[in-house]
Formats: sequence, structure tokens, C-alpha cells
Amino acid sequence: MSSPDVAASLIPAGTRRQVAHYLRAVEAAERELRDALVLVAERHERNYELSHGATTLALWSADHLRWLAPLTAAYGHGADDQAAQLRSALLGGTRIGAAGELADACDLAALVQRAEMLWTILVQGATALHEDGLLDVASRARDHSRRQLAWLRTIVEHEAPDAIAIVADRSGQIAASLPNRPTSIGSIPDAVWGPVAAAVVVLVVGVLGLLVGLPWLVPSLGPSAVLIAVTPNHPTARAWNTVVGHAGGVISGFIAVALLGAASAPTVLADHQLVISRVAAAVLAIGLTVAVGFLARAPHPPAAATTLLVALGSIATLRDALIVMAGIVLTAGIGEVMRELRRRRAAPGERMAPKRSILGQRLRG
Amino acid sequence: MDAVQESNRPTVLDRSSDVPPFNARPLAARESRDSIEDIWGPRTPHHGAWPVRVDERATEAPQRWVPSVCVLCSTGCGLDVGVADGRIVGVRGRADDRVNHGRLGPKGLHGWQANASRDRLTTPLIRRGDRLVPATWEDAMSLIVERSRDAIDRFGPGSHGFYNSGQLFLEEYYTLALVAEAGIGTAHVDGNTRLCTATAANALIESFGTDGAPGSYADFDVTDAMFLVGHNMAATQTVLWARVLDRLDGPSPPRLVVVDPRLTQAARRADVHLAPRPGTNLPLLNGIIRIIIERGWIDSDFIRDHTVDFETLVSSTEPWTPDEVERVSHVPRASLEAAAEILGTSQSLVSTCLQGVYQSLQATASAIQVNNIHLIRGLIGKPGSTVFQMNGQPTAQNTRECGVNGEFVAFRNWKNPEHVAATAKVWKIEPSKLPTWTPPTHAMQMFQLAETGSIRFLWIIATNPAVTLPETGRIRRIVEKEDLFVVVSDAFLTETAELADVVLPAAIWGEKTGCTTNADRTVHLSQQAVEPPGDARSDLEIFLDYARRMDFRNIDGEPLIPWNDSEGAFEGWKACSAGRPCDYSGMSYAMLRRGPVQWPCNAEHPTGRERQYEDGVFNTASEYCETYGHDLATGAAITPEEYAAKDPKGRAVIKGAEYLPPPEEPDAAYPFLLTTGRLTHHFHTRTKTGRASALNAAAPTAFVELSEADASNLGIGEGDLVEVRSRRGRVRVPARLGGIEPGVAFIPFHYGDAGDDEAPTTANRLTLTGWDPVSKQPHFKFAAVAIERVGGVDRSPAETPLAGRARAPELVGGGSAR
Repeated sequence: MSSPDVAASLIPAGTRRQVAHYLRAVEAAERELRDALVLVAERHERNYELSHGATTLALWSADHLRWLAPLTAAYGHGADDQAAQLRSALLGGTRIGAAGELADACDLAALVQRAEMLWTILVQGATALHEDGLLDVASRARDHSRRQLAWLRTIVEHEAPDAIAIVADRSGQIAASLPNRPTSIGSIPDAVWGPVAAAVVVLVVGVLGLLVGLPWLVPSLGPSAVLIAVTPNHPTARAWNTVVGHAGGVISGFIAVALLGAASAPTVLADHQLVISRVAAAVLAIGLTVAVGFLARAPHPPAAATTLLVALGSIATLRDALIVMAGIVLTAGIGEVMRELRRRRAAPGERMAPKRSILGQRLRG
Repeated sequence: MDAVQESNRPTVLDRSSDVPPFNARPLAARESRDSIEDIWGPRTPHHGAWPVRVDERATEAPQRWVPSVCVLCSTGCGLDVGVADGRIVGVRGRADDRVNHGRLGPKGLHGWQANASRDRLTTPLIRRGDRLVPATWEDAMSLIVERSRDAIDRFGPGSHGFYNSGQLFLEEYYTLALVAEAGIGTAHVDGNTRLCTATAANALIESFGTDGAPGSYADFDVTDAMFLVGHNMAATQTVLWARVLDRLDGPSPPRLVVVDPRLTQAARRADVHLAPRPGTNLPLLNGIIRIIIERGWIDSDFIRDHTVDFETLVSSTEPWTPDEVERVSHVPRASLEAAAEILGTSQSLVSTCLQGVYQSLQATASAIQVNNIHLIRGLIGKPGSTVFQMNGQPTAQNTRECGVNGEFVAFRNWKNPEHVAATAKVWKIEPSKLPTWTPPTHAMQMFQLAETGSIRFLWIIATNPAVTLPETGRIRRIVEKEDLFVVVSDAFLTETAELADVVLPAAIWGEKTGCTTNADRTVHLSQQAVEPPGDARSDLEIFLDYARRMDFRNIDGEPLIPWNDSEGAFEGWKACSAGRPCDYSGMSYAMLRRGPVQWPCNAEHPTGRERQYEDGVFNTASEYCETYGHDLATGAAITPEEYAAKDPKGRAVIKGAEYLPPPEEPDAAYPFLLTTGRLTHHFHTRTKTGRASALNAAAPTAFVELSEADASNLGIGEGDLVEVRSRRGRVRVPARLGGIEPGVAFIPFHYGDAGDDEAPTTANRLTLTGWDPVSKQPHFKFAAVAIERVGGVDRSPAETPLAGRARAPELVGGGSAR
């Protein structure tokens, strides 16, 4: 591979930023793809065809991330949430039996397709810029993307006739879908994991609050717990988004109340009385909260509940605000543990030989 | 009725007490040599024509001889069956046969005794509760047809699976193809040949366009070099090895390179023996190819005129420097270079691959690299130069030709609408009836579909998946499933048959007439010598009876299968195969009675064709090829459009392959690598060889082979009982020391234990559930295991007169076939 950093220094800064934008987009896409492939490999461990093939494809995406490292070093780093948002919309629900395998193959294809498109953009860009190092990486990676897609199509061609033409034997399908070891949290359907995970988050915060004697359990913690439990892969469920989002909500609320002189107005939820200043504060607070969310790269819808609690007078003192934020930080912390449990999966080969195996090293870098 | 069965019930092999001890083996009335002791017989050194040596063994004087062929490996030796008073009493090699020139190996000389075994099935059995009770054919077939119809009505044709074998005759496979694909219309048809030759087929197809060996066994007689890759020919194909030994001891002997992790008898005769770590064939072969390219030992003209995609090979082998190969495979740099020099500089070369490639990791990718060596050196299609992607079973080639092993009939391409239409025309059915909407289901997938309830009716024919498939416990549970109706046709009550709903007694070799085709495309007619025992029937009769009762019809409303006997089926097959590479149209039973013929045999080649591709034109043209190929890493199918866009038009396809990490690795908990394989004296699950007293006595029990260094570290002595554990299961077998690399262990796979968890011996309790992405052949030769001494000398294999330490290497084999 030729040295990309030398070439990158020769092109204008503006162009470099454009390339960097697509590099981080494709990096995020490949990272999500790798993890999704590993998830599918673990989830369908008893279907060797699917599980082994997905592992091979994940190795390629892991290779791509390694190839990308020197390029992002040369062109510039950055974050990209779009791949995570796409990933979050996919691979959910109950993925059992042949229908579940087909659904997962379709979802993987969407992620591969995105990566292939981004690599194509980079191939075209690198050709126009005569960036040979970039072109070499992008061409080889795009070739892999196409082979990944071809494999998914083959899987679908194989499995679709049986999935559709045959009356499913539900118990047989479930038996055949059980992971070889009962440790596969990735195999638990959303409908089972979601309620349990949300309840665990609230339980832990509530019990700790009881022990310490502080009212950490506040209403806006609920939607945060739901995001963590139900859409753990979505960017909004991250600890950063949870903490910064709610903090932005609190601050926005206090600013709005101060600016619009609503501090002395009746507390809406306690006094059951709505006045103009509270309405105005609520309008300003929610606008500010969403804006802060974007600026801080921390959109988090439940923060809107927090900011309204402030704007409408339920949270009025610094002590109140600190107690709320303590509850939120705790939620985010427990949330990270729950998300990691749900998200961090291992390919079957990695599970079989976990100690520094060649497979594990290549998958995880 | 139940009481009758109690007294008469055939028992599975392991529990049978009627196998006489070794020294009680009946003395032969006529025996050209003791082949148990002297496996390969006296030398007849040669270069060029291989001298005749007639081997013979009979327990009494035959009254007549019936021409036939040996069916206990894929060599396909012509023999005469000696018959006296309606019983088989012996065999002798046919002097005029092009395959063996009169010779026979120990399995061939002894295996026929299984025909007369007392525990042959003689009547159909039907399950009543947890017992199998005798029934009439009428009752058994009526029940099968009733359940078959019921499954079709409720779940459609895809509810049917047919898992067959490499043991039937061509006529039976072809009839089964019509029953399953045209009659029922299911894609779930595969053979146990998936476990032994699927990779051979795929490697040939990917490189040369269609299946079928390019060369001839006669190439061994004149070649300058031989390359045996994962093929312990000395144990698995003893007559072919005798041919090689005669070359090695004759004038201008060829140089021999052997790749095998064990110091087999073949490896002992090698000029260069490469012993890679299990699972590293691909790095090793990539390393050899890299040296050949780098030193300029390639035939650039041949590459330019007769191949495509050479560049992919240059780039895929580029990382595999000798040092890198040594790091991954533990093969010393000097050995690798010495091997590459022989393979790169000899004037002619015969290569063979068997299970050491096919049942290891990246099987198809590795087998193709052996093809590539021949292609880049231009050493193919000429005398003394060919590659054999060997078969394990005697009629594996026929399952592939007839399309009941995951290929489409007559090497046609199921993705090519014209090929589908041609088949439909021969069979007189609507093309849409043929299940070409999906690639034929492979064996492992078939059992998974039975597990998930897609398959409700499973017919298992002459094979024993409860022993031979990976994860035997899971397979047993599937076969026992309530809502799965299982029919087993077999000659014996195998471990699988014991679990079936209906068992049909089958006639076997010697009791029926039909064709077999061996690994060099030689077609033999095996003629009926004796009547089957009791009510046993040939598989052909069983399929024809089933088809009649199911009332399968063609487009004209006539019976779908118009023939009533094997010759009729052969005539049908001739019409179907016409115009394809495996063209039988010029043959007839009359012609085959005069002697064997190699396909293609047609107007152009009226006496058959010894070598394919002599003109450097391969079967890769998009309108002729058998598949459009696969991605070797993932198994993804290449689309017709992609293939047509770069149509090789008769040039061979060179495919490089990247090395992928193994699915499991030795670690502290499982520090050894296990490989499995076959013994000289046994075949498959010993259904036949275990019933030939001399063969059984020569290798009566399972064992694990360990290096002396490992054994001494573990405190294990010769014959000690050891437990071998993998992440999937455990076996307990005696130890045998020596003849293998440190860190590697070997267990023969022949020894089923009928699910007995107290005394587990089935090697497949340990093996991975995993298979090659292209050929779908399981990884039987790669598993991480732990080994522990659990007891002293028990029934050591060394206690038998012939299996002592000194003889161990001759008795065991690294190759295998199931």
C-alpha cells in the first residue's frame, strides 16, 4: 500500500475535508456492519452456513477498519452517527427460524449496501484526485462489499423456498434457533429483553435512591431507560447523549425561566394552573434543548421532559437540579452496562477459542 | 410377531458376539497371499505397461465366476465373484482389467464375506412403539406411501428429503433422481458422498467447468513425479498404491512428494514429506505456488492460451513466503523449497487429493490450488500429467453424474434454463416441476431442515448418519423426532436404522446388477452373482415399487419411470447423458460385459476416452459449464451475468484463495489438534468390513494415536485408556504411540458406539459442526481436543497379533471416506 499521508498533504485543505467526511462515514458504516455480522453469527450459531459466512464477512469489515486507520490519520478524524441510526432501525424484533434468518440477511444487505455506496464514492473521488493509496484501499474494500452482498443473496436464494413454502413448525424452529450456549444475549428477542432491561435500570436507580435517601427517581428518567432498553444501538441511547442531553435540558430550562421571569409563577403540575410566562418558558426551553442537543452532538428526546419540568416549575432549585442530574448520571451508567451486554457479541469461533485467537485478533483489531 | 423379533433381532455391530477371534478365521481354500499381513502383495516393478498379477481368495472351490467390480474404495478394481451352491465363496482379480491388472487389496479379498453375514436384514421392519417388528413388503411400502402422500398434501413436495449413499449403482441413483426431482419435485436430495467427494466435484467444476477426472490411472505408469496431498493412498487405495510402489521400485522411478500430518506408509516412501499442522493446507500450497511462479517454472504459453485469471493467483500467493508458510504450517522452509522444486521442474506430474484436503479447512480452495499447479505448469491432458481429485466411495462418481449428490443430472447447470429444459425434455415433464429454484440441499442442511420441521419425510438409503455426521448426538435426536417419518434402506440394522420408523432390507453388491464408475471415469458392470438373503430387494426394485405406488406420471400421462430393470434404467441414462461430458450413449450392457469402458463413450469416442482436455479446451464455456462458480471464501454463487461477462470459453479458470483463520484453535484447555481418518482394513462405519472376520480382527477397536513426546508428558503408555475431550463431546479409547507430529492426535472414525455414553468411541462426538463454504463437506480433520489418561491397559489394539506397534503405520490411514 502506498503511503496515503504523503499524497493527502498535496491536496487542498477543503478537498481533504471532503474526503475525511466520507472516510468517517465509511468507517462508521464498516464498524456497524462488522458488529452486526458478528451479532448475526452468534444469534444463528446453530445454522453453520449463516454463522460461519457472517463471521468471514465480519473479518473483511474488520480488515477495512484497519486499512482505514492510516487514511483517517492522514485526512482527519471525525464522528458519524448516520450508520448507527441505520443500524438501530435494523436487526431488531424476534429473529427466530428461517424467517428470522431471512430478515437478518435483508437487514445486513442494507448495511452492506451503504458501505458499498460510500466506497464507490471514495473510489470515484480518489480516481479524480489521483490519490493512489486511497484508491487502492477503496477499490479492494468495495470488491469485498460486493462479495458480501453476493453471499447474502446466495443465503436468501437458499433459504427463501423453505422459509416460504413450508408450514413452520414453531417449536422446531425455536429449538433450532437456541444458541449452543445459553449466554447469547444477542439471541433474546426484543420483546423479552426490552421490558426486562428497562425495569432493571429503574430498579437499580430506585433501590440506590432508597438506600441513599435521595429522590433520584424522576419522571424523565423513564424515557431514557426505554431508549437504552429498546434501541441500544441508536446514538440517542448512548451515555453521552443521556447525560449531556439532560444537562442541556436542565440548563435550557433555567435560562428560559430566568429570561422570561417565570420563576415566581405558579408551578403548573402542583398548582394546576397555567400562566403565560410558564408557556413562554416552555417554548424557549424546548427549543434551546433541541438546539443544544444538536450542537453538542447529543440529541436525546427524554431531555425534553427534563427541560419542561424546569420550565413548568417542578424543578426550581439548584439542589433539585443536582438530584435530577445524579439520577440521570446513574441511569446512563447502568444503561451503558445494559447496552454493552446487549451489543457486544462474539462470533462462534471467538467464543470457542477466546484467548487471543487469530480469529478474535483479526475481528477486534 | 413381537416375540419372533426378539429372538431374531439383528444386533448392531458393536454388540455382536459372533465375530470369531482372529486366530479362528476360516482358512481359505485358495489364497494368493495373506493380504492382511501382506497388504500390497509382491512387487512387479514397471515403467510403462503395468504387469498383470492375479490376486485371489476363496474359501472353497467356486463352481462359476461372475464378472463384477470391487466396491470397497474408489479405485474400482475389476474382479470375478466365485459362486458355489448359490453362495459367494471367493473373489479373484480380473487380469484384463485396465484398473487393477488382476490385483486386489485386503478389503476386496475379504469384504465379500459380509454378504453372508448372519445379521443381514431379511425382512422389512416397522416401528411399533419403541420396537421394530417384522412386516411384509406390502405393509411397509403401503405405510411409506401413505406417510409420503400425507406429507405432500400437508406440507408440499419440499417436505421430502432423500439422503443416499456412495454405495448404490448408477441405475439406482438415476432412478432415485427421477423419483425425487421429477416425481416428488424436491430439492432435498443428497448423498453421504457429501462427506467424501463433494470437494473433489467442486474443485474440478470450479477449475475445469465440469466434474470428471481429466486423466487416467495409466498416467501413474509413466509420470516423472507424484504429489499426494492429504491422501494416504497406501491405506485407502491399496491397489493403486501397489501400482505406485511398482513404479518406485522400477526403472526411472518418479519422485514422490507427500503432504500428510502423519508419518504414513506413503509418507515413508516420499522423497519429500511435508507434515503441516492440521488446517494449513492452503498456506502450504500457496507457498509452493509462489515459489513455482517466482522461479519462473511456469508455462506462460499454456497460461496465456488455456487459462484465465492467472493474476488472482499471483496476488493471493504473494504473502506466502517460505518463512510465512513455516510460521503458520510448521513446515520447514527447506522442505517446502525441495517440494516446490520437484513439482516445479518435473517433466510430468500426477497429483492426487483426498480427505486430508477435502475434510480439512478451506477444502475447495485448497484442492483448487493443486489444480492450479497443473494449470500454471501446463501439465494436464497429456500422458503422465494429470490431477486426480479422488473419490472415497466406489460409486461416488455415479451419484454426481446422476444428480443425487447436490449436482444437477448429467453435469448440467441448474441455473442454465436451456439445461433445465433439456432435462425436462428427456424426462418428459414440465421444466417448472424440476426443483431448480434453489441449489440442491446439502446433507448437513437437510438434517437442519428436518430439525426445524421443514422436512417431514426422510428416506435414508445405505448410509449411517448417526455415526458419520458431525454432532452425532444432535443427528440422533433429529432422526428420533416424533413428527419426522424416517425410512432406512440398508443391508444391516445400523445405528441409524435402529432409530427409523420403517426399515427396508436391501440387496447389496453381488446380489444385483448395475454399473459403477470409478475415480478415473472407468465404468464397470457389476453382475448379480447370488440371490439376496430372505426378502431383501435391490434399491432399484424399492424405488420402482415406490414410484409405481405413488403413481408418478409424465407429461403424456404415462408412468414417469418407464423401465423395470437395471438395463432399462441404463438405457434411460444413456439418453439423459448424451451430449454431456459424462456421455454414456455409446455404451451398452453387452459392451460392458466384454470389459470396462471410460466415459465419454459416444460416436466420437466409440471405445471411450482415456484422457480429457488433451487439446487444452476445457468445459468452461458459459453455455456448457456445470456451474458459474463460487466465491471460494464465502461460497457465494457467481451470477450467470457475471460469468457471461467474462466467459472463459473453454479456458480453465485459475482461482486464488486467501487464508482464513481457523474456527477454533488449541488453547490451554484444549491443547491438541485432532484429525480423523480411515484404517487399511475398514471402510466407513464397518457395516461390511466389520463383518469380515479377518478384517475385523486386524483392527477391532478404536484408538487414539499420539506422539511419543506428548504421551510421555501426559504419563500415557501404549494401550492405556485415555479420554479425549473437545468442546462438543468426549470419547474413551486406548492410546497408540508414535507416527504422528507432536501436538496432533488421530482417531479412526469407523467405530460407532450406538449412542452409548458409557463407552463412547465415535470420533464424530468430537468433531466440529462446520463445513467448506463451497463444497459443504464437513471439517472432520480439525478440532481442538484435550487428552487425559483415565486407566491402564484395557483391550489394547496391540493385543491383536497384527496391530502391534511395529505395524501400526501400515494399518492406519490418514485418508478417509464415509
